[in-house]
Amino acid sequence: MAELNMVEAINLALREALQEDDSVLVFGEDVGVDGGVFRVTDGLIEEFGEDRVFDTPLAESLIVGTAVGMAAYGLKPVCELQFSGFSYEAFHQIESHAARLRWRSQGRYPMPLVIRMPYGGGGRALEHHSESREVYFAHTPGLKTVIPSSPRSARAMLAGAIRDPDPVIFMEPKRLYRAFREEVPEEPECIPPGTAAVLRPGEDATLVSYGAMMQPTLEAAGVLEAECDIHCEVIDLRSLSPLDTDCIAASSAKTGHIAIVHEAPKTYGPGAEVVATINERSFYYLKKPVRRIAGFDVIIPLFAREKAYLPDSERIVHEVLAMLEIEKKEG
Amino acid sequence: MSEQFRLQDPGEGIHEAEILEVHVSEGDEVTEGDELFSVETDKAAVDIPSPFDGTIDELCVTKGQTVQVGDVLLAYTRTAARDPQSSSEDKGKEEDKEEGKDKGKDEGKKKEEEKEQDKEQDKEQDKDVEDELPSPKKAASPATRRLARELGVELEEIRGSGPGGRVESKDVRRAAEDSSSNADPAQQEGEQAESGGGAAHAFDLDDWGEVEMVTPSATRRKIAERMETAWRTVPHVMHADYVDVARLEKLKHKHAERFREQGGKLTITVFALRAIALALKDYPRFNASLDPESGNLVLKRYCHIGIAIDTRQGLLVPVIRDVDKKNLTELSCELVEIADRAREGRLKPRDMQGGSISLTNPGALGATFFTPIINYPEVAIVGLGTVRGELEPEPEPDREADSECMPQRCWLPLIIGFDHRVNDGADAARFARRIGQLLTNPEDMLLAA
Repeated sequence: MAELNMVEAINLALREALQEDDSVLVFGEDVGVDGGVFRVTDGLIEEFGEDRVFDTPLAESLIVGTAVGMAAYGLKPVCELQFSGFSYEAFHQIESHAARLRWRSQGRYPMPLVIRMPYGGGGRALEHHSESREVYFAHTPGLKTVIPSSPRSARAMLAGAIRDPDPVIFMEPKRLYRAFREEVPEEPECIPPGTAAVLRPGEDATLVSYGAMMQPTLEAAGVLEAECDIHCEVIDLRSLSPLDTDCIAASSAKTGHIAIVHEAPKTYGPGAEVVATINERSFYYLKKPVRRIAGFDVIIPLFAREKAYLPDSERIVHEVLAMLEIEKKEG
Repeated sequence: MSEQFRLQDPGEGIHEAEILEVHVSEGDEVTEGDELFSVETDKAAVDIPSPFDGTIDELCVTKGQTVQVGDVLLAYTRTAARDPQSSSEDKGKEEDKEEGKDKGKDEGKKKEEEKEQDKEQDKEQDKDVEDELPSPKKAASPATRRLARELGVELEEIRGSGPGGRVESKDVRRAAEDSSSNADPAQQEGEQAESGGGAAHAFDLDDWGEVEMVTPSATRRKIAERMETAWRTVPHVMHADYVDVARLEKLKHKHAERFREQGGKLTITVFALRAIALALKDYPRFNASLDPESGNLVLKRYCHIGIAIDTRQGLLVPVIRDVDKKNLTELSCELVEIADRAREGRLKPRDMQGGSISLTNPGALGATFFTPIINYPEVAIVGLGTVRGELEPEPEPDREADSECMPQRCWLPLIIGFDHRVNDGADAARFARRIGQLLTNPEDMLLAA
């Protein structure tokens, strides 16, 4: 088809879902008339009408609460929270109802809802716009949490999220919204939650990441190969919950050297879960302790210091060399 | 104050030594450079000179004892005023002792290892916090531990080459390779006793009558280790042929006296050295080593030939350097000299390293055909058997030997053992034929550049 950026790719996925299934609804703050603050829902209200694409009041609890009711009665709501930092207003609805209703009703009420929320740093924005709190959701039983790293995977993963029978938190790294374009195929694609992808094969070390951190991670893998002849296998987790433990175990057993990169704070972050997975599945293949290259345990700094907080390719290269006990040549 | 003098690591992977001679007694005054001990390591006999001026307080070892690198050999008191450097050294040693005291309850063996580990750490000066913790266990990654389990190697008994003495996978592999030869024999025996006995027990040999247990010498164990490595690593193939050396024998008899006068001994071996050196120039793939890491073939531009010498201690293979650049007189003298040194146990480790190829000649003892083992990492070995056949009496002065009457033939069995990874049978046949031609026609050898 065409080269799309992530905003256009998500827009395409929503349009395809609305076309394919009459029970799909799209709503949230400014998603209708305005087409979304990031233009993700641009043109949908015109195409599908205000019965299926509509604006809501500034009330996140109401948005998710409405979605829970709709899902319980057989609709497939795809709602948007303007920034992940505002999801805490809706946390009670997400944690206590969306995540539990299917279980609580012993399967009588399905919960096929999707909550989209932009998140993450690098956009020179404010704290509630830039933080990475994905583990709140990944830690919650009953929820699935997925994060795309490119336009093509965003379109396919959103299709997978909408078709999933459980509530899926679809977190969009807003740093990637317009970061680059990628060929998105004509025919619809679907990636269900729970599948990771090997973006780059390698033997010497495994770099695990997801979302916006895939970019510096891939860049670091390129530098390590070009300058140090170190071949890194790069894994895009795509889904934090469920986690693709088979993929992690296989790659870590292959290389024995693993580093995980994420911008969420280090303590209790996704990296800890990956380390624990390796511990359980491929411990005896480990050659060195697993490295966590992560955000620091602070509220993400405002934009003047944001770069110091976010892992970048230089930091990743440095950490990987330290893990491999290789001293980098100067220059 | 009394200080301890320990067996230093002489490098070259030597872990232990046998005390051959103790040159001092308790109470002796020594000056720097005085010989304290003669020891035999895996590789050679060496004298240990005193690095200090002082008095021997206590001898901690006796003749015949096997000691490990780092073991205390004697305690002494310095007579000379100390320089500041040595006082800081003392401080370190004090700390060592403190630690030793804390762990006094542990069995001796373990303590020794810890000392070694501590020493390693001192040497490495590693800043890693993890490594500075006094740990009774060896550090190693899970993958290394799994490898050790799979290879049946005790991690605690391995010297780690990683930061802070951490045991790496390559250390485990090396330990697995030479577990039999490097372990302390006493300890090994102890272990075997625990697990139901040594070889005698393992094969129930003592069920059939009285047996005697002999602990091999360090040299013997080193030979065993090296032979095992070579045999396991190298796909050996033998090529054997007879070479007519009638004219060479005549030449040898004719000039023997002249060489003897110069301190040499003109033997088939001397001629063979020269012939091999010339043949290696034509067939450089026999002067090579296979790099196990890269798989590359390392072609050597030098020509150093090892000579197998039968000594009281066992087989030693000193190396004659630059054979291609020396004439027969020089070679014959050097051969006598190096063989004497080998028999007297005066070889240095370096004397037995860096060969291109080796030559073994058990012909004097009687041999027609045998299969020598390559001196790994070389890729070939040349063996000579006993010359068969009689020489005719010298021809009449007016009749040239090779003009009218056929000379009597003398047959030398020539054997090439080669690494089939590097050379093929045809290569070996050509290499052997070249050596054979040179030995058959000594003038070619003498005229060659």
